[in-house]
Amino acid sequence: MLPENDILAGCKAGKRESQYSLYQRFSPVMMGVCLRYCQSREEAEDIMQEGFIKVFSQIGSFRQEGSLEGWIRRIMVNHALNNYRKNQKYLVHDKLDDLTDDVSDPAQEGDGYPYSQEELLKAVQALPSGYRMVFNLYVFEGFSHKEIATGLHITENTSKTQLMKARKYLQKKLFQLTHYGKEAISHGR
Amino acid sequence: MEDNQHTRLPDDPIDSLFKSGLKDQQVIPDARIWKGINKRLLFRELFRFQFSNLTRQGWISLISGVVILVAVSLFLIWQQEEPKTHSLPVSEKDTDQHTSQGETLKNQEDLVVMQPAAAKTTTAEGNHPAPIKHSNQQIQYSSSITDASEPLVIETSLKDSDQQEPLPAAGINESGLVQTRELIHRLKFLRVLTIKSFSEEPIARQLTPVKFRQLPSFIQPIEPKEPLQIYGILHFTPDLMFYRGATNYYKYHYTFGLTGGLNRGCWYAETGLSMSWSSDIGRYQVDYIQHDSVGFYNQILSFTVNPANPGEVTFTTTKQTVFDSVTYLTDLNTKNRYTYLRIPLSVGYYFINRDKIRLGLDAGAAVSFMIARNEPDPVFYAPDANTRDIQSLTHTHLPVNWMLTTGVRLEYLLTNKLMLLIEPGFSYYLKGIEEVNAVATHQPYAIGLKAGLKFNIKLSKR
Repeated sequence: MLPENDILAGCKAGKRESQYSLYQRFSPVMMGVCLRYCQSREEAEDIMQEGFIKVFSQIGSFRQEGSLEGWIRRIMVNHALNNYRKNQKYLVHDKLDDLTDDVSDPAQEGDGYPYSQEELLKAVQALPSGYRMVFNLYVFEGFSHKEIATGLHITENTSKTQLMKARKYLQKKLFQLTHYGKEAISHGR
Repeated sequence: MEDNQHTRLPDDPIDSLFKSGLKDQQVIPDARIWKGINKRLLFRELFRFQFSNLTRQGWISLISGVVILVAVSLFLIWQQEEPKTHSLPVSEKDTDQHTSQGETLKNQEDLVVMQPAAAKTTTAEGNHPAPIKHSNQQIQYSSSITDASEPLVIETSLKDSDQQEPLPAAGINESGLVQTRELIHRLKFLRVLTIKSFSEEPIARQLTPVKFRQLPSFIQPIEPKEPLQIYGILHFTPDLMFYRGATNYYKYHYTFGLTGGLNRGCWYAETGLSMSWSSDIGRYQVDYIQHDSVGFYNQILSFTVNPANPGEVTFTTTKQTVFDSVTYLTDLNTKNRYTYLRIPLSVGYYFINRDKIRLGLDAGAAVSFMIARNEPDPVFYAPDANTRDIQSLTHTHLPVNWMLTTGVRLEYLLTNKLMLLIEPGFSYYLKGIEEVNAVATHQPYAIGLKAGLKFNIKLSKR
């Protein structure tokens, strides 16, 4: 594998081999990021493809002040947010009132149920788009509510409410997964 | 992001669970994503003329071409700026037609001074009329014309015999002679005034035959007395080439060149030389073997039986991926570049010909010869793969292309010598550009927008 600096220099010169090396190095991580922001794999693939096109076209502006991975990640997240904003008017907001019942906290249960990455990802993907955005930006990207509010054109209170509802939804989802998962295995399904 | 720590609450347990579970998640994307990216990048490169991608040879030819064109243009413009004494058009000669007393006329050739009909001509000697001055003499007006408010007209080259007025012979009644002369002057004056009342055009144009004006305005013959004009055009033309019925195939040409032309009246004819660059996608099919995932199975690590309910068994499993050698066929694209030398020949007609703006329509043919090609070898980068074969699917481009061209030309006069030229054009190729026309059964078309500077080089004598 080529050193990162060589890859970067090659990409800046527009060499296809370097672009492919960069893609190979970072695409698995970025696919994980994109999947968290999207409802389906197909949507995530589209976001990632557009994101890498942008990475390659703007790589000349990367000044190596931060990590390359962080820069690419920011482009992917920005692209996911733009995509969300663009499609916002077409989205149907699910009613989550029925999911806000008190449920036991699976993280505190301590029953040792090993949630796989796939299960956790499916739970995040099942969130309504707005909640998913807020949850991702707050938990994974470390943004404050103020920054999220600015980025998504919502109020800070809306951001806080959506985060709370997203957590409740995820708790419920994991609770269901724990019980139905064990029952499914115990019945030999 | 700086004030995050102040506005963020401590992590919720659910946040921590998801963060630890998904933060470093890696998912291998589908191979078609890179294919899509590669294709998009290639198309972006094709649609953008990248000077940075030019080879050394390309740079040398481009710079030499520009230097030659600029040098030729400057030389021709300089040549035109040299003082012209005999080849001036009538319109420029005509600048000193209206003059007043005491002025010295500049254009002295074939000049005849005409006095207004109402002007009384008196001289110091008495009632003799002022002698009519002829060419090649410095004409100085003095107090011989008493009524300066009357218009004074100087007509060019009226070669009627009546201009050669003899001096009065002895024995001829002088008063009768004066009356005759006055009558002649009146007639001349009326003639010139009538002509000038039509327009402010040069006299030579005003004297055009009547039948010229009776023709339909959109078909005007070449006027024999129209000066022949030579001009050059320095132009740049981006073209988009496409096939009828193949919506996904189109490519760009960039043409840069110098055209020379002749213009008489509303007609013009042109030819020249230009360099044309175009790109195309080189297509290859790669046959390779890669050690890849073919599926997975759940491996049981342990199980427990519920003592209270022996039928309830809990299994602990782990997912195991199965790998094998897999044969793949994939497409690989390269960017090929072609350079052509193009020679156009066209004829056109200005159907709107105003002072500042000209609008014309032209048609003709062009031939282009391929003078250089750059078809790089495909690079298949897959460290884990074992390449078996790379098959070229690129068709050979024809070395000579013939095309029919037409365009609508708009010219805007910037200065007397320089015009801005914009010409949307259309071309039809008489054959496909490849040996095997794989894209469509029809010949390709091209639409383009020529932009350039047109400079007048020389005006011939009338």
